[in-house]
Amino acid sequence: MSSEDPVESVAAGAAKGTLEWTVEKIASLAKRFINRNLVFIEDQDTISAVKDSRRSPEWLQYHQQVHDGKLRLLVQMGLALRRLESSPSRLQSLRNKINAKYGTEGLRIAEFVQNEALNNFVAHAIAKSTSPEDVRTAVETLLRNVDKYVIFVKSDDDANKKAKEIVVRLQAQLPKNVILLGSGSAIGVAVMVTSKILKEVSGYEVAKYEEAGKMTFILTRSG
Amino acid sequence: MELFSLQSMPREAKLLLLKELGYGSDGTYVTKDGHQVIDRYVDEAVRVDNMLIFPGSTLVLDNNPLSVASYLEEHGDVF
Repeated sequence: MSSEDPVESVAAGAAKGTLEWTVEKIASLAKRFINRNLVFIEDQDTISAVKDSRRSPEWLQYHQQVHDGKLRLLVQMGLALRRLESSPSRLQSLRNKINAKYGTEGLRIAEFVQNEALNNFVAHAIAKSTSPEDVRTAVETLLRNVDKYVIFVKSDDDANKKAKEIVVRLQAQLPKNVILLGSGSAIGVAVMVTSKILKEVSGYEVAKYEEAGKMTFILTRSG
Repeated sequence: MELFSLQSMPREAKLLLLKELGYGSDGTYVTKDGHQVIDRYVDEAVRVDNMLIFPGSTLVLDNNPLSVASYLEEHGDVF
């Protein structure tokens, strides 16, 4: 329990001439809050990171595809992470909160969205599906299995070893979709890994999405 | 609905605001009936110097995007 009496302190502040925060003003603010005329925030940046994401065309697209409550939050966190990329300490703070609440699996889902790969996958799923329900199933299934079926290829990955790991997974589980992501110097490795996989595994088609410094390969089981 | 920033509010004024709304503080964290208030969206105790106060049974939350998004998902885009 605080040893200070806030009423006395604020009143003392008023007596000293700091008239901005009077007891009356605070009571007025409280009343406006109770009447639902205002909410109390700490800083606008935190609110904007979320509200700007929720207003974005990207979220309005995902809003239709993702109905699961936990996945919806993680997708929004991915968009928020992207908005916080210019602020490393806030970015890491949010990553820590996501990890604490949802574990590394949840963090990877958010990272997948942050990376803009979900954008490409939704477009791909829409092109390949015959109904909105199919699209939603494809998107939510992929998000729930990001750990298994979304591979972030690194520049120092051994392409042969990586391809073999993925081939084993594909042959055992036959997922509908697998995504390989490479950025910068990892793009060349991602290209090699994808090529090797397609030589080993039949029944998968590949779609490639390339944008500034990033490449996404979506392998989709045909038939 | 107006967004009122607590950033410029002195600590004493924040404590008085909390008192007006039925809360208290142990010096660092927000309390209710003598117990630390836990942000139910991130399962963390809420600090007086980093809190949000949203309507809906007067929710006092930790100031972070996950809590904000969780609140808006539950209550709609009320602000």
